[in-house]
Amino acid sequence: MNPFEPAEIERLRRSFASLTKEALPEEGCPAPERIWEAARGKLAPSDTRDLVDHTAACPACAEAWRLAAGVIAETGEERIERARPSGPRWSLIAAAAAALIVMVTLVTQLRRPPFDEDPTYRAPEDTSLRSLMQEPQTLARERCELRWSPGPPGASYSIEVAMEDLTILSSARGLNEERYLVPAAALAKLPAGARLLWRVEALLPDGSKVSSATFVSKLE
Amino acid sequence: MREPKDLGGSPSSRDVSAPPGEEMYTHLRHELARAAARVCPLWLADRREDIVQTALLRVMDVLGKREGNEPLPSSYLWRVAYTVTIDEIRRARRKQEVPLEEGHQDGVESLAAALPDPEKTREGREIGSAIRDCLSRLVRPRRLAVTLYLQQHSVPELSRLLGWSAKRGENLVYRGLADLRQCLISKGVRP
Repeated sequence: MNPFEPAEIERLRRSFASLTKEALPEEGCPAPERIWEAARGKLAPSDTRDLVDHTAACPACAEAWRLAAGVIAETGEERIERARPSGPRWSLIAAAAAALIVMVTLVTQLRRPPFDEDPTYRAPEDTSLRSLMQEPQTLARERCELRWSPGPPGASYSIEVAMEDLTILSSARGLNEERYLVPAAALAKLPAGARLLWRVEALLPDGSKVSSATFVSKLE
Repeated sequence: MREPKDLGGSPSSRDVSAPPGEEMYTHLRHELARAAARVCPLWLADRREDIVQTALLRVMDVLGKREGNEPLPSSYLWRVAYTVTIDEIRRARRKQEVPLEEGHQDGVESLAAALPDPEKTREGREIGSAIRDCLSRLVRPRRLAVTLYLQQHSVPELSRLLGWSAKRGENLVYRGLADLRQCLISKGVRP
């Protein structure tokens, strides 16, 4: 039950937003692109949690989040929905996954010890493409290979690799393997430690598409 | 390839195709101006033209480097307008170029701007500071839930964003709000 009256909640929200006026962005603030993707629900939940945690203490990024969420809501931009293919096959898989989640939840509930803290629940299985790059790993320019988790059988992939300012460095289509070697020439002018943003789209045999979140990898 | 006249409207429903000709340029500019008007705060209105120009250059650059006629998602324009605007906001704040009273226009209205007078504004900021301090004392899952709740997200929305079930999200929001209430009262703040 909500311990606040609706009017109190609105006042809390206004007060929280009012900190914007003294907001000074910090060096460690996430890139606007990342806030946008998080507000669209396109980041992995663990990444979104880290970002939201930052906004709790950073009024500048809290403001950026509000702006993104407001625009996304008002323009009908995709909001919160995770990249999810359409089509009968995926509907069946989703239904089977949902049934499995219900069973797992029931079993978990039956076996759970007496409640004493915030309960944990299993999140639904995320069907989107995931990066297989190790997080702290830096990539060599001569062999900058990006890898991701397989889509459904028969999928082909397209990929875009961009700089942080969203300038496209390299792209490819019709890939049959879950990997892409970024041409060394495309990386030649980037400074050491540059961050690459990359995104994969899987084209499924039934014509539907699955897009990944935007991943970040670092050059050595 | 789509004609430029097809490119307006909802950002999620239309695409922008290469190559960028004169008509395309005009249309892109119009669309970016529309997006910037929606995103840009009122206090930054005098920079809006710069924002549109920067966003336009960025989009044209991307279009120019694309191979073939693969469409560029129209939602990309909104993303670019948003990111360029946030960059400009950050730059202005670092340079202390923000006026005392802020506001937003054309749809995305600042919640802060709704505070009616200086006294209430000051009081609001004091409560805001207390909220921020109290949030830092909450356990992380509750802090995340309450933060998004204070950012106007519904419980189902924030649950999906944070990768939780709706039940867990609801649980964390209400427990977090209870903690927040206790903390605020201990500071002598009554919401």
